[in-house]
Amino acid sequence: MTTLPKPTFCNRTRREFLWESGGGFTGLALAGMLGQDGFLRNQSHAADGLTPLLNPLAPKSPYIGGQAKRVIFLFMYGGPSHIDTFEHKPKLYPLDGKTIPVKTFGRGGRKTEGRVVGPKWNFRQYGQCGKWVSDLFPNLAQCVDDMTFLHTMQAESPIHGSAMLMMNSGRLLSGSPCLGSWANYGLGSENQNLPGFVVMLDPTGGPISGAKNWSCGFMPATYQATVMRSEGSPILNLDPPASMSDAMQRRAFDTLRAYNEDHLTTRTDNSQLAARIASYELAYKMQQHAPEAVDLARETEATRRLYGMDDKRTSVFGRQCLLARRLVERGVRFVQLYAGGAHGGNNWDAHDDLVENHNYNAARTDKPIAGLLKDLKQRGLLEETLVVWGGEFGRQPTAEYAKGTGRDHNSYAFTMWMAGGGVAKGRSYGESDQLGAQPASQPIHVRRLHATILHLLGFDPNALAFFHGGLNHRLIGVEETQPIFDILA
Amino acid sequence: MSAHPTETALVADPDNDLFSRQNMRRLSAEELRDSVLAVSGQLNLEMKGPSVYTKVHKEVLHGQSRPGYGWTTSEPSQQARRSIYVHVKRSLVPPLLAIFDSADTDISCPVRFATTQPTQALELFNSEFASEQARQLAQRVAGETGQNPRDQVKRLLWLTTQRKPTAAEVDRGIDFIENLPLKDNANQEAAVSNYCLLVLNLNEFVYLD
Repeated sequence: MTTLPKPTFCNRTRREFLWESGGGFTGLALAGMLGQDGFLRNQSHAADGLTPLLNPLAPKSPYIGGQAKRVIFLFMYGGPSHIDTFEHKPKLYPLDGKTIPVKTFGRGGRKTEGRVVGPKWNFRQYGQCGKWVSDLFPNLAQCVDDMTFLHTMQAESPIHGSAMLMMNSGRLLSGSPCLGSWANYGLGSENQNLPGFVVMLDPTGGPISGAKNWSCGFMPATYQATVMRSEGSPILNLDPPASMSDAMQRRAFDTLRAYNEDHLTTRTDNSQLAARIASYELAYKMQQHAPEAVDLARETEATRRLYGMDDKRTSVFGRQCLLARRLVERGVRFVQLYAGGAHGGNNWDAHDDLVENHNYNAARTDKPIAGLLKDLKQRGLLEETLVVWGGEFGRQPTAEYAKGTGRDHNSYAFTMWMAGGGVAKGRSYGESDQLGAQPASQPIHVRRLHATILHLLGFDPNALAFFHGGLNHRLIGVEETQPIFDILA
Repeated sequence: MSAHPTETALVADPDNDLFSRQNMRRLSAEELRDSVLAVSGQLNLEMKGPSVYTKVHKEVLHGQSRPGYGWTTSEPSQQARRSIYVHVKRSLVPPLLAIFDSADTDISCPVRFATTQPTQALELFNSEFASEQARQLAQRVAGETGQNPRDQVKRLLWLTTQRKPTAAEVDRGIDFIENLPLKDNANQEAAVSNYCLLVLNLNEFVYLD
């Protein structure tokens, strides 16, 4: 027979009481400390300039003050092959077709030997830094002097779902806040008329695990990403109901406000009521501003061409990249674009025909991403905008099946690159072995990438924490994790 | 215990640290959804059986790696069952529930957040669900009180606040319903239905004293 603890201590169990007292005191001390740093300077005003709104997304000063003010994360879902894109492995070409001993671990399990698939594209050197880039990216290759390459990325899982979650939230299991949630939790948003964390998906669908990849996990819903569409009404429920014109909605909001203010007069001790009144004004403002933010009609023909919007192959991702620029320009803190979606051939997951797959995925993203980097640079936005490119893992040097060019997943070594926002220009960090199977030096766990991004945003990655379930949770996990200082500008 | 503070209580215990009154609270996601359905007259109190699938916008389903996979739409009377019967997929929580801070699907949740944010206003005012329930509410009230705006407003405010409305509150509602056709060219039916939408968004409806 089980008996519940007797409810004492103001109807709390002893455990709850101790918990709340402890939590409360810690909270007070923390609030004091953070208040001194200006971290909690979150008192702001609603759109009418009168109603005070305790807005969790109001801009905050970061811990240190970073060079990056915002992030565009270009997620190459499926896992692009590093040895066919940005990591030149000349000794791999002559091995094509030979079976050699090599340790691999992918969806096909652990193997100790395999048939090499030589890189299927030629590499050339570009820029002053002389970076070798494959023929898959003729446009991006023009930007190498603005980029830093991370060649020894390592993820903990060679399976899409868990590796995606690791890249987005630092954990293999779902339930933790994503990078964009942390950025908004730490920094707030510069534009209250737009969401602070925006995700745009591939037209074919979301990635495996869907919304878990842009979830705020145990943080409040405020830090959840908003999925934005690149065509039509950009945000779910942004348009007033069909039966209601703008003027009617305005009248409805004004009347609603009058009722709510009456209600508030005898309940002034509840700040949430005022905040809720203000939230309708914010929603109204969002309705006015969001359509403008995604209206590409204001962009010149030259800009549209720069992003490849005039070409059928590149128009979809080009449009999304241009939207990403418009959003960061307007103060959106974190924008994530998915290049590739769904299952099978609609993303970088080249299990069958590597050549067909990567030609398709590179062709639709190369020019748009190059356009984005050039455009950010010419507008002076690149210095404060961190662009991150990469997938959840890379691909193996050997074939997955007895025939064909398809490569299985490789989470031991893969390449990502970053540009702008305070990272070095034209630098490459680490390299994998001659096969591209394992790091030859300086492995970079995903957590170090996260630590570096947080550092660039102005945080001490080991200090930025959210208290939940009795623990101070950090994006970088339990162990102290240092940013990669060698790649800072 | 009421959440309403006396003047003395406000002075002596402004933050309610001494529990001189109940704390006001926002309805949880499920309570809010159930309350909307109860007021509109649609709530289906049937018990037991498999969970039901509410209509989820295809834009939201598009976030799945197989858009629409594992999701269907139950017939309307089944969708109107209490939220406890609403099917929640680990990676797909119906937006109305998620936006109003329902529990995360991954971890046990001893305490819910109660956030206040503009996307909640968009959901409760602009969503298809809100419009549909407002329309149902308008029909319900027309059936109960007839076409007289004064009776309709009184009944609507009573349904959403569970108290007798003041004269000023009733007049404000009548003004709204009568002005929409005059100034904004709405027909009478739309005017009432828009007022229904408005009362479902009242702070007094969403917060519990």
